[in-house]
Amino acid sequence: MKKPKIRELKEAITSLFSRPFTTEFPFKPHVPAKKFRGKPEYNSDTCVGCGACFYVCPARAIDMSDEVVDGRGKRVLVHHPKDCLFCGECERNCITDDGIKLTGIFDAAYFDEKDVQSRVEHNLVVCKDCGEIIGTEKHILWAFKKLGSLAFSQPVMLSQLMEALEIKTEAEEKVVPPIQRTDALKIICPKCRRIAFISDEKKER
Amino acid sequence: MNKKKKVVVPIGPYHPLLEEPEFFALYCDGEKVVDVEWQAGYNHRAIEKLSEAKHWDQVTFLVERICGICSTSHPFAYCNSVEDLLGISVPEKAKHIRCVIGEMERIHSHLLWAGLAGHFLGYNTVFMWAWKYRESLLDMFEMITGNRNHYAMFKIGGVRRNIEDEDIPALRKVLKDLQSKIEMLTHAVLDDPVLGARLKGVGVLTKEHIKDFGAVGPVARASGVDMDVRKDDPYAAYPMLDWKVITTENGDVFDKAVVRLLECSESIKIIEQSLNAIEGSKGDIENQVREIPAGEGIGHHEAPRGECFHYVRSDGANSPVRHKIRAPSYTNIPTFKASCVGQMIADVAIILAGVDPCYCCTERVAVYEAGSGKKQICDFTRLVEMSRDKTEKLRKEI
Amino acid sequence: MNLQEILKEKLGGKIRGIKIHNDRRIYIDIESRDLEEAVRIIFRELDGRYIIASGADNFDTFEILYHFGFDREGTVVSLRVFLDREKPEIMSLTGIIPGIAYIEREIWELLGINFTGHPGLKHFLLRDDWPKEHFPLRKNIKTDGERCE
Repeated sequence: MKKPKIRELKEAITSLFSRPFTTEFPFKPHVPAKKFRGKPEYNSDTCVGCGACFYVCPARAIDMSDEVVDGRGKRVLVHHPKDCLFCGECERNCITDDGIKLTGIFDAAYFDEKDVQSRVEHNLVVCKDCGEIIGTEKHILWAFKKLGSLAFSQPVMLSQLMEALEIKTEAEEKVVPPIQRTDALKIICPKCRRIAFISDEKKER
Repeated sequence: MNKKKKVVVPIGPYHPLLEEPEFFALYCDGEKVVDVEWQAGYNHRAIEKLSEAKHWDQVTFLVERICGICSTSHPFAYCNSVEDLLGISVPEKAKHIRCVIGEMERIHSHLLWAGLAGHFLGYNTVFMWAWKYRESLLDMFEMITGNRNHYAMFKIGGVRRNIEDEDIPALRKVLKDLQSKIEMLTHAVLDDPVLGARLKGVGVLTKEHIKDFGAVGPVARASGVDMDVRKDDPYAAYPMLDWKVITTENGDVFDKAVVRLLECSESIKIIEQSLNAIEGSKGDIENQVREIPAGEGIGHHEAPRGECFHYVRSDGANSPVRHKIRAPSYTNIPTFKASCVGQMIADVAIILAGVDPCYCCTERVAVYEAGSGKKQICDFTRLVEMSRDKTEKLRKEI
Repeated sequence: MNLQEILKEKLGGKIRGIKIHNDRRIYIDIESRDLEEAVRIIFRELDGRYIIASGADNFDTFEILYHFGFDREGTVVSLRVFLDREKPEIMSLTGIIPGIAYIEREIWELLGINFTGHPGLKHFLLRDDWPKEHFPLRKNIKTDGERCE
């Protein structure tokens, strides 16, 4: 049998006398790389509840459920690691750049799924005429900040700002059907606002 | 042995060592193999159907998960096909980043194969060392892209993430170390007489076989067919770089091993040239694509195992109307009909591995004589044992 | 002569329509009765490389595309045949290209197109007790991205 060459012998001896190559996890903690794509988590301060992550997720791992009761609405966004691909699309498409971020958590094994889910809740702004969902409060305020002084021409944004400043306005009043032009400055959805502007005659309430 | 009695050796479908399950039935006459039948479908996930329900950008993540080893090849070919449909090109920095990721994947896939081939032959040290060198490459992937396996780098019109200048020195160091290790492995394979006796002349495929079955990749290049998509239909940064296609003449398993190991060295050359182009470049990494009009497109990419081919058709909507995927192993695996026939059972394990199929080979080997109804079951380790026993016998003779 | 001219000359009257998408992608429409001769010309005479065949369901017809590669020119030539929706049937090409047997089995079981003269049309990807007449890739089977109806 032919003897192994020097280059292989050198590698063999180096391997024999160096530490085992296997890492010592879980006895020593493992620190993943800086760009490692781990489990996504919501930041309830900066998330505005727009739902972009829900629409974009390739694996449909994010659930968005809206519930409106008596004119008050609540939106819940839940991320399920069991379906997640850890692709990073939710983080990339988040409109605030900080609402959902991929952490360095690499183990998401669970006995009860609620232990590893990430969840955030928002209040919804609901049309006072038809009950349609306009958006979340934080989303409207985010758009307001982006538009600057242009936002003052939009009644819903203006009324959200007033509410955030805790100033009472007549926008809070309910709309008594049928909707008319005097209701244009109340909190109503775009469809109802269109009808309010084009209905010229004063109708009997 | 009575000529009428043929022994059927079914190989399949599950084994923990390789990636996907499949099933073969070998018809044997004594120790020689007479015919091979391939039954697939144990891992059928209806990906072509699912593509029709996902958005164009979400399909990239879907096709990435067709295979774990060649997980960049499918998004690469898919992005090529949609860019062919649109008639757009990709910014230059993105072309180089695509080449770097594609070639790093080629090296890690060939190193994985080298380890498995060594394992089948009984050289467990080769297995351990090849996979040890592969680890440093996977750590580089995690540093650049965020994951060891599904890199999520490709996007229609460019790449999703940049390779930062601060990461490049570490990558260069790893490649330099890898270069010397791969050279050691290559020379060890070329010089060893036992490997030569085991692999030379075994599982030979002629040029006619390659043409009849449409085989691609290192399987074809080992038989002397000069075919490489990167040179024939250039895409990404390959036409701008200096590298060559490796072909050998004999078409046996030894040549397939040589082609794969030499390709690793060419890949390192390509990556080094691309890194020089990326470093310090401030170009865009993406050509924004807003909508996909009606039409059809074809794209292909030279995966580690051969040509990966995608065909997409659009009718202007958000999802593909038809997405046809052809992995290279689809046309490589039928070559067993030609390469296994006339060979000994002890060589079957290494011939199967020589094609580097993207699947997981065997669970049970049931040897029974057609006509007698007697069933004798032994497991996959028995097939590998037979292969290793033959190596031992040869080693004593030489 | 470049590849386009060679193809036009050799295939001659068989060409029902030709689409040059760009200088590397050519799509040629032919009738199903001319398929065998056209494939013989492309595969044997012009030495094209067999890549794969794709079946598709247009709502009023079926369509099969046979893709061939010409590596020296870096071109992919695809032959397109349209088949009748009610009784989709075409002759098998295993006599010319042995390796095409597997994709024909797959197209048969996923789309329901019959290949006459095929040595053994049986299930390839789906399990053997799959319900008859249920062809997953046809458009009447809908999917929402998670399951098929």
